[in-house]
Amino acid sequence: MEYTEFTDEALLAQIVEQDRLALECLYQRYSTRVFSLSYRMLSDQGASEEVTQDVFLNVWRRASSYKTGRGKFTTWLFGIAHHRTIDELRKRTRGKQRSVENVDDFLNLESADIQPADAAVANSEYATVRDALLDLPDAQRAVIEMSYFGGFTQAEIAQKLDQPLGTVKTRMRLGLKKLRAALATKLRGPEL
Amino acid sequence: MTDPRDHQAISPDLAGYALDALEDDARALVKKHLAGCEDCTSELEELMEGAASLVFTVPTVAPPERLGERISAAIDAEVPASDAVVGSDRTMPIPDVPPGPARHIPWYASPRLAWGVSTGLAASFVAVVAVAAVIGTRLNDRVDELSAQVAIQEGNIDGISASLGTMEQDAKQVQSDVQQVSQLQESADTLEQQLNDLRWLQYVTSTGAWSTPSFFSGGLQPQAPQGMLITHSDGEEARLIINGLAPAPTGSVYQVWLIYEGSVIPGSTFTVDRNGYAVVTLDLLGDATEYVGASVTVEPSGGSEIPTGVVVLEGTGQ
Repeated sequence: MEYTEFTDEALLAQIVEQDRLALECLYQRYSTRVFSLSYRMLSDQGASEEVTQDVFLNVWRRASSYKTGRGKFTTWLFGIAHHRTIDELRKRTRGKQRSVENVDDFLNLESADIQPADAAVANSEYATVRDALLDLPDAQRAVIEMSYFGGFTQAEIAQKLDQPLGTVKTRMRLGLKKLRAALATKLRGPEL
Repeated sequence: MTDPRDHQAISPDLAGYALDALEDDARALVKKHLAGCEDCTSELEELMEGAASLVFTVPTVAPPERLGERISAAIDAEVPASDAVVGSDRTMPIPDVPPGPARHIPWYASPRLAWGVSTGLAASFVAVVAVAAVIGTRLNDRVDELSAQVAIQEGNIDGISASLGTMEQDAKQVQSDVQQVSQLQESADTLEQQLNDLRWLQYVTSTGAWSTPSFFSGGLQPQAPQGMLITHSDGEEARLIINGLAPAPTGSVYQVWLIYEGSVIPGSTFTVDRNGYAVVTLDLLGDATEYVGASVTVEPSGGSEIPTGVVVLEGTGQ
């Protein structure tokens, strides 16, 4: 059986056994996603390469910490990638006032610049998630995008939107739950 | 055993944890709580799944081919990775990656690349010296240019002083005009009040998805502010339409509080227009059966976590 036919979890089990080909296969599957996320948030190719490198080295070193049955592999992987990117973003902007105008970039979901290059993807994950995201009330989508892509904390968002912190927390929670529920309904495949 | 009070305080922060949107101290509290709370751990998994899906909204950009080789070289340079994975005993798939890899062997550790870096540094030094000379010359030019601009501005100031005398005469005429505008403004206010009343009615009659309104009042006086709350049939959104509410004191805002069985949830803050009119959109928690009512209080600018100010409007649910 070719590695390309292995599930993510099976590849991860191989990585625990120090199988370099398994890591290479996972890298082929997800490096573009990880790099794209980081590049979108940092707008810096060199830093995004460093982040992507760190993420896959972490997969190599910490494969055994992933627990099957505790969420999807992609959730684990993208969680690591996002956390690492946020860390880099906050390190760069610490002590600096970030402009709220940048938030408009995140809300511009229907603009041509975020169309994926891969046409096949456009018909599957991208379109599905985009639709689910667009279905959210504007207020919930805004706080999710400001935090996820902009790296703003809940307290910063509350200040920028002039809303109580409790309202921001409630919107994030409702928005993420709805997003997850919408995807569970729309996606039929085992993986996002 | 997890303290239920901790659970109540921590669970609203789970979404922030999933989105990496917590301050460091709040994140540490959530992490500590998760170790002993299965309910929160399960909810966090769902929230993280929602967060991870956002990756798919990002336009794809392929990393450079050399990146794969660089990772491979870094692994080659490491001590056996078995040391790294042994002892890793996380009980859940929540990422908490340190700022940099713990034993990251950088790609530039390669002797071949290190040589390239040294050569590059020497070339950079020469370039810096040359650039400094150019910058010095440009700075002198800039000083001359700014001096000329200052002289021009001084001439402009003299001209403006002469114009001031004429402007004083114009100011008297303006005062007269202002009185007329004030009279027109009063008429416009009356018309706008009527328009607001029409908007109010339009909300109720034009949207079949909205509930019958529940009415709010700020008192029994004829001029007391009035409010009307309508909820959407999906139970997740409500609108509070307010009329006749005086502007909030300086440094304050109005804030809506949604009252559920056993809890008060902070809602949006708002201000009113000069006729005391506002339409406030509210997020409900999706379970209309537990909704009891709502109130509006005066709160410090930015809003509050719990009600602290005077109640100016209140009403009960359906």
